[in-house]
Amino acid sequence: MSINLEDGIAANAKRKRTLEVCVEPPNNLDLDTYIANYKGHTKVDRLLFIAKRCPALQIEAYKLALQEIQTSTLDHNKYIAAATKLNEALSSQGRPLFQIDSAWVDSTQKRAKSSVERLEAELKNYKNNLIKESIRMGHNELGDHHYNCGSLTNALKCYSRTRDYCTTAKHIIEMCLNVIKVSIELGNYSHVHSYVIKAESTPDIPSVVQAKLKVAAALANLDSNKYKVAARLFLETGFDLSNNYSEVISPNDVAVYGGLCALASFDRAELKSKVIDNAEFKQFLELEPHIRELIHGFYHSKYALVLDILEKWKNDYFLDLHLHNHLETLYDNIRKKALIQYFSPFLTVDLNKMAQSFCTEVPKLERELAKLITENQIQARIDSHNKILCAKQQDQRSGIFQKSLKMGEEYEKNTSAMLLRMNLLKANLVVNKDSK
Amino acid sequence: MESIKKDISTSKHEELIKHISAGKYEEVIKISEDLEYTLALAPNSEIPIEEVYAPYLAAYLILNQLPAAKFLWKRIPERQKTDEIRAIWNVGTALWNREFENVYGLIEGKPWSSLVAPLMTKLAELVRERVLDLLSEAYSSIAIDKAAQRLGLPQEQLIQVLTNRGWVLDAATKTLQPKTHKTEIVQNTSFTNFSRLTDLVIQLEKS
Amino acid sequence: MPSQQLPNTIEDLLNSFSHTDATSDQVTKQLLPILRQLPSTFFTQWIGDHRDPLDSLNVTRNSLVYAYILDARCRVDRPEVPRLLSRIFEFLDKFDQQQMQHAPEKLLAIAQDLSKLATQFGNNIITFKPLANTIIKFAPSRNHLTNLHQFFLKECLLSKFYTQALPILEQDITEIEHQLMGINYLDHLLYHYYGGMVYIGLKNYDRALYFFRLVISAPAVVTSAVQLEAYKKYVLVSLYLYGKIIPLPKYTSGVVIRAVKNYCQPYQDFAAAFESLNVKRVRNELQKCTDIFKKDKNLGLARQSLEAIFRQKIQQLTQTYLTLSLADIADAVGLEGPNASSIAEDYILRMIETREIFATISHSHQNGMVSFQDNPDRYNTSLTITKIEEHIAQAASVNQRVIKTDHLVACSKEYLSKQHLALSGGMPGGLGLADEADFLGSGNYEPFIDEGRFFG
Repeated sequence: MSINLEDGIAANAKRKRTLEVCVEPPNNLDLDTYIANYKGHTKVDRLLFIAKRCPALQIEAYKLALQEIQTSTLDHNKYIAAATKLNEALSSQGRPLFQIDSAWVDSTQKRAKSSVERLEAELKNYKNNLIKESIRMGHNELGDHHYNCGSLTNALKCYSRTRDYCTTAKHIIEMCLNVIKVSIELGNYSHVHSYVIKAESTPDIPSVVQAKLKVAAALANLDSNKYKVAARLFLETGFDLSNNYSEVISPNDVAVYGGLCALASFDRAELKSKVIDNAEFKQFLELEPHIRELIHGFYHSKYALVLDILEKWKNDYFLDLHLHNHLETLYDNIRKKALIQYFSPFLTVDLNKMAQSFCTEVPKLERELAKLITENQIQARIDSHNKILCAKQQDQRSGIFQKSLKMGEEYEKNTSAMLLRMNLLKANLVVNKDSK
Repeated sequence: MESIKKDISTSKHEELIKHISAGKYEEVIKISEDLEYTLALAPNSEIPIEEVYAPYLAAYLILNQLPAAKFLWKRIPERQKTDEIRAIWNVGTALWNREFENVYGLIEGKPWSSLVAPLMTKLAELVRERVLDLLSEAYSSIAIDKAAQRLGLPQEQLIQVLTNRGWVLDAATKTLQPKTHKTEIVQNTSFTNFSRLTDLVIQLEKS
Repeated sequence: MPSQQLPNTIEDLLNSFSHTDATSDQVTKQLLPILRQLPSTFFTQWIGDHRDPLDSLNVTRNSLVYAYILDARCRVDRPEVPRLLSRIFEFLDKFDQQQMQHAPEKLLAIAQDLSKLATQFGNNIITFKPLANTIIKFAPSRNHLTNLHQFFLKECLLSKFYTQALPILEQDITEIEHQLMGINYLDHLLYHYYGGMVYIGLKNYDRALYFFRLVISAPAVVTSAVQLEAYKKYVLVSLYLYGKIIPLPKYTSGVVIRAVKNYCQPYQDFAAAFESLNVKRVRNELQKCTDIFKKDKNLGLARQSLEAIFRQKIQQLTQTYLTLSLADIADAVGLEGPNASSIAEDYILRMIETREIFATISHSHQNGMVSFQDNPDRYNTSLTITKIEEHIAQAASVNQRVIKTDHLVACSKEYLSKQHLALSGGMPGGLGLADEADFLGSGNYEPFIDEGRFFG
């Protein structure tokens, strides 16, 4: 295991973002290339996330994050916090400290304050004049400013307030997208759900916006562990998305998230029709060739290859802001699916060979299979002595006899009980306080 | 009236002894229940109730009605629990706990009264039979010492008995393999089946 | 014929109806109000010339008066036990069913007298046969509940003579004639509760579960303590048989379900531990609940269900494995210690004997290997036919009673008026069961009533 999660994770329990985790250096990640796909808050958040979890990339990530905060935001609080962390890391390694740009902090602080005052005054003025469009703009600008300063709840309030002043479909979409963006950052996904629905009910949505809404909804479903729905939404996302939503997500992420969710939740037929034959999604997959290889490998039953790819990328994904806490479940499900699919064409399977294909030992495999059989996901039994997995022979005739005999007994019991009950009611023999 | 009841209990007691020797154990229980009732109404010094309880309890064990035996044991008044009744119940406890290997010793090492002796001999025989049936159903091969223990027989005698029944001795693994056997179920298609079928059809017509 | 004026002496009473041609039923109706007003000292009188009034009565023709005199005589300070016992036996043997249906409470009183006298006589065993026969004689059919049912079962339980109860218990109760049989809701609850206990004692857990279910799901606007006790046993029996709490019928009253949550929490916790199939957790929970289970007299049952967890896990293994070594089985079901394999072997042997599983053990392989098989019954023998026919016959008998009840309901005033309402667009119509809503509807929870005398 490359990580040590603090708490054992139950499959369906809603996970908290586990921060006390330490991930070893990933195999594939090139921080510069990776982070170039993003801009704005998500860029900073992703860098800070990596910095917190991966000691090897810590210093580089903090430095990049500080740079981004300074150039594209007014969030001096975040700047100071990140700088402090960076210096802790540097000093623990005995390296010279990072010089905090206190001039920037001061001036930003002042600028932020005066801007708020100016924007609020303007808004008040608009309100007095009762010009709808100006009021909307005023709220929006104030919202943008709060967002820039990192006070997200204030930003959310301002964006929400524009709702009453929207006059066109375009305004509504703008409002929704703003709320969605902030809500994703806040982790408030129920908001995301409802505003995606609101936006989708407006007419004439541009295809780029459509793609954005799909991705937002997909993220919300991913958050609530609904992998199949999430997979479907990622797969329906138009390639128009491109780099247009880089303040939230990159097209590479769509390939990775969508691919993993699909593998974990689709059966083989769905995998073929909805993923492999999906021309739009193919373009996403071009960006992450190993995911394409993974899906094809799975489809063509090359399980050793599949497991190898998954293992190689595991650390990378543990550093992903959205994926990290779903990874264990997704990987588990993919493995289960693979086990089921491996056995599906056979009547008997040699457990030694199967263990080899799944890079595991026979006793461990036996336990995995026993669990799948108990969950009724595989119709088979294990011959532990000869180390063979055998398909269950169904004897339908006996089954029906067994079932109908049981049903007959149940019928007698239930009818008798109902009859007694009816007669009790008829006689008014009801458990009661006074009448005995 | 009292004397009539006494006569009843005397004649029932005679009947009981007849059933014991004839090996009709359901009847033994039925008569014993009757006697328990009659003697409760009219005690009869010629038939001490404790002499009724002993075969009564043994018959329950023979028919493997352990809960009924347990409750009989519980309702026998302390002062009427003779050593023999206690000894029978010791066997009952072993059966209750499925310690079959103890049953034989508890039975065979005891001087039973002439009334109870045939019942206890039968019980030991039946338990051995039951265990033997179970072993031949449950094992494809069983270690000799384990079989000897479960059947309460010394190894040489065990091998003798079992090979006579068609079991095969595998000296290499020191195991015995039961004869594969199938219980035949008599298939009796007869007119009664037809008439029942007719009844059924009529029943379905009605509803 | 007697007027409403009360007779002065027992002779007056006897004379008042001895020379009439009226049917016994008419006499009974006229007599009953008078008998009910007379004090018990009246019935203990003797006739002037020291004759026993009972001697001048015909037990069958004058059952009612006979019962009043007999009951009064049993309740005096020092009753003559043997003589009265034979009087009671004679009465129970010969009484007139119809007359006693007018005063079922007197019949019950006589039964209670019998039990009390038997105790004084020294052995309650003498009560079983007369009581069982009386029940069969008194009830219009074997499916009717009488006011003697629960009393009889209690006698069987207290005297540890459970098998005596079986002939009565084997008949399902479906018919209720509460006035003729003198019963109230408690008769139904207690009868089925005691019945469940008898079946537990005789290890017929399936039927015990069914009986407790009837108690818990009885129509209720408040919860009876009997229902709570029944629920506790229901949980444990259910765990023993199926490893989980079998859901209660949908029509179980809401107040009962809430009361059960409030008052039977330890049992539900135990069940939750059980469902995890984690032996350690179950052991811990049992440890925690020991005192409560002991107090409820359910500890033995709870311990038995603990053993059932191993059987259930072995059962599960048969669905998963074709072969598995004894050591692996012991490990998989959570048996521990140096004898684990041997204990597992004992469990398997027992389950093979009771046909819970189908398997063979082999000692030829090291450490013992078990092969699991399917049920070899292919349902292709005449045994299956016989079994199916039995079931059909039973179902037909139930059906007939359903049809009968259906007719009665269809003719009842309530149904007709509801139909009428439904046709005129008022209430939604329906069978008599529509009443159910009223019972379930009373929302607010009231504390359960503790009858306090349902056992011991």
